[in-house]
Amino acid sequence: MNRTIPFIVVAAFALTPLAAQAQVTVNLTGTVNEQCALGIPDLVVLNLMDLTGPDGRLTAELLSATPKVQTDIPNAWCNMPSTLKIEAAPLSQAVAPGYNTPAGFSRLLTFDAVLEGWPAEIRHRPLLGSAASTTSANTPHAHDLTLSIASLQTLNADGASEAAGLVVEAGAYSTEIVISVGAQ
Amino acid sequence: MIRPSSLPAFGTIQEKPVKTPLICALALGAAAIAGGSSAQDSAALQTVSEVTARCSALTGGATLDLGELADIDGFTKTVFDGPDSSTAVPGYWCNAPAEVTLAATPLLNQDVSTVADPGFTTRIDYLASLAWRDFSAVNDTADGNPTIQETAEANIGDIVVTVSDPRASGRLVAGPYEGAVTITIRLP
Repeated sequence: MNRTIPFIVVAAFALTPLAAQAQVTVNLTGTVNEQCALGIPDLVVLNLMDLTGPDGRLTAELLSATPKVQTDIPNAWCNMPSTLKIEAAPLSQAVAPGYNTPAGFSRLLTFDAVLEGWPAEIRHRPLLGSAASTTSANTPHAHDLTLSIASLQTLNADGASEAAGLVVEAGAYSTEIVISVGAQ
Repeated sequence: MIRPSSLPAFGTIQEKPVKTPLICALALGAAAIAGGSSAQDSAALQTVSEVTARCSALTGGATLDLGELADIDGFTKTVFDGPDSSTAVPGYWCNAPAEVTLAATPLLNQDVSTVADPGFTTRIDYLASLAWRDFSAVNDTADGNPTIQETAEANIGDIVVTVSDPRASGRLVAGPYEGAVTITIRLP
């Protein structure tokens, strides 16, 4: 005899109650290194032409505050607080004569090298042994720079002070102007 | 085998209804109840069970070091230098459709919060992508809102997070940057 005995079995799997939601986080890190850059100047040689007039002294044009020459330095930037610096020596003869500077003459010339484009401009007027001139930006800064040369003047024989009205000795004159930018 | 006491002892037959208030765990299989004179007997059992919808534990996380973020001109690189993907959770499963929320925050400079020069920025936006077997989602930090999607079915597989397409509105201010991609999974 077959009998069927129905059994209804309810099996409840006892599980840990599920949390309302679960979360995981992937953290991202990276860095931006401190950087400064200067673009290539439009002119790398600033030609002042003949410095003197018929009287052998600096021309009125070169003595004036009107820039004689200027050049742009594009894409100057720093991504952190920075210091912009300009350094230069007086204009001097490429080949100095074998004698001391005679009285009434000068073979050293100063000038205003004005650098604009940073929050404050720099005006550097070199003497022999003078320190560089600087200006600062307290936040990241980007701007084209403009360098202008004006207001030339003769220096005394030791190059330590200006002496107006001296006759400029003959010869080729030159100097190097160095512009740099970096972290404060 | 667990045998409630209300049942008759084996080997006896009683013609009476069996009242069995029974809730217990039993091994599946035919329970042969020895009958009286017949050579064999059988009993049919019906089983009913329920499996709770659930997901495995979502633990761990990772850190992706994306490396140097700026190019030589100070702008954000178009491709991250460092590893850009991470297996956030290997072998993750949900035994029912689930709601997945993907929320990414932009990479922000941790030392500088604001910058005066409009040519600079302290923020990098990017795309965060999630892949979970055949399910995927994307979140753009520039949108400012999380991405919420539901899976079509139960799912099992590695959850992989990938970041890409870095963008910034200017040169990047120097310093350390941090962001995060958060994945939230819940059963509706």
